[in-house]
Amino acid sequence: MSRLVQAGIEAARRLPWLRERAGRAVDAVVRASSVPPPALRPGAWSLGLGAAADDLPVVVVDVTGLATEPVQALVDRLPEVGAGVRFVLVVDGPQLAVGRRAGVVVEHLIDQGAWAHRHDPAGWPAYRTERFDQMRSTYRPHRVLALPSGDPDELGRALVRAPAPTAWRRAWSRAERLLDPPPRGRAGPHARR
Amino acid sequence: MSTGDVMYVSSNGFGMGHLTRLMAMAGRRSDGVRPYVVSMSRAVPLVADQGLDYEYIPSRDDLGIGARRWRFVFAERFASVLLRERPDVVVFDGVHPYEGVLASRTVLPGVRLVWSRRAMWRPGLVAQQLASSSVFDVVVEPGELAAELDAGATVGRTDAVRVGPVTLLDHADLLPREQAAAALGVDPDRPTALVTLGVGSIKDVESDVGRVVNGLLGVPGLQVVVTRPTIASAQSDLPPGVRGVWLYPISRYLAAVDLAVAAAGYNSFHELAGFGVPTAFVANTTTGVDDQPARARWAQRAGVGLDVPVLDASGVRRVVDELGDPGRRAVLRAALEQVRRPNGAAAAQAQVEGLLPRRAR
Repeated sequence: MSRLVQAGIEAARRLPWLRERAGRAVDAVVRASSVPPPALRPGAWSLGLGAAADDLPVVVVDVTGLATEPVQALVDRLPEVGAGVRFVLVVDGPQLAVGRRAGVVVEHLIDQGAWAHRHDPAGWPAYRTERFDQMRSTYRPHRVLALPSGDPDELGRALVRAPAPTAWRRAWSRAERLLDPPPRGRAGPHARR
Repeated sequence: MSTGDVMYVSSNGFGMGHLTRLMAMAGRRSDGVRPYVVSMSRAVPLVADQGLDYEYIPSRDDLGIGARRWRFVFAERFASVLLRERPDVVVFDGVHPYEGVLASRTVLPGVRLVWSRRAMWRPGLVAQQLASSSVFDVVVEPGELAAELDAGATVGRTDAVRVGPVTLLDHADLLPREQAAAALGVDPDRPTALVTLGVGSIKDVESDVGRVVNGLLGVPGLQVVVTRPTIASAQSDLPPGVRGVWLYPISRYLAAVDLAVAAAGYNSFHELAGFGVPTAFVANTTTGVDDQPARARWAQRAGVGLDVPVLDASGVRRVVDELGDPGRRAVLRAALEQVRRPNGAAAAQAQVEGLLPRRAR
């Protein structure tokens, strides 16, 4: 299937009219997708897996309410307790960079205090529900876990083994990755020359 | 006086230029204006320190996913933010307005759109996104000191309102030297070098940061301050004489800085040049659109700074020889004084507020 898709991409690159139609078709494929986004960051410890990381289940972990230190401690132990999982950490504080350094996706939720600056406090539960619905739709997670303790061992115990993806889902992920490739790495210029 | 809700939207990009320009504008808002920041920058929590409410949307780079999938994700998420916050004006700062932003009026009819569109695009880029300029009610172009070397796609366009260079702080906001030195942890009576290059470890002597810090440590009496994102180690791991700091905005402390080695991004360039710090500019050549090499060349040509394209042994020697010399620094400072221009942030914000629907008499 991958070779077929690759051949289609090459043909579309050569012909503008085909490129435009192919673009629309690819959009339709991506919109219809029910698999987690291919190439979603799997954590720095899983980078060596390449496209095989697309087969790892996605788990959304809600650590809202935690300070930066426990979030950092949790992230530090993710390679150990969460090998074989792609995480989306949900925070409500300034911990966006913590997850990024470990190659983990981070989502941010407005906390109740900040919400009340601009909205009726009674509307916050509905906002929270909407945001988690969006995350379910975006990441197609295997599970959504609340981890108010931030305890890595508790997370490890809660990670029930996900069923292996079907051959069809694997093929879809590979095809989508080819049609809609991930960004190429952007290294900083001052690291090494 | 203007009143209304303004949503400031920044893309990700290298560094914090997009977010900082928006903060500069929001910081100069009228009393009746309610700002809200939506950003793809992981540094966005910093805006809370300026009293601004914010929301983070992961960039494509943060998620690592394909452009098409991300476009849908962003559009859906941005639409829900628009419907919830219902701003009167959306101000976008970035070089590529996303479809989700361009579709704002479909989601929220009547909303007005402003594009804060930095100039100095790398020459030769296909700039299809400029066609979307007409979707915006106003395009504001933050000023460029190096404009005469701008050969990018925005040159010659007449669709933008040009303002002065936009910086977060004005001269009056800088701390006096003694206070600034105390915050940086240095002696105000000795010269101080600031190294702010971005990626790279100070312990890696093969990195640009490691090489230039080692070079600067050889200048008698010189204290070296390195911004923390450039270092991977704790203060206790740093060589004697080197301070690691993470202060935002670093420009508030520039009165205690006598020389700098910095990338030539819009922000650092205009802050360092605008606040009179003799600087060696090491252009980042990997940015997608920003023509940093041209900015650094201009600094050299105008005699207000050094253009050091590569921080190899000879580049470091130039930095040390020229900026380590107090006489040369005095010449550069005097030249910087001649090119200084007023902050354009208030003028940019005035353009935004001109679109607000309700104005008190």
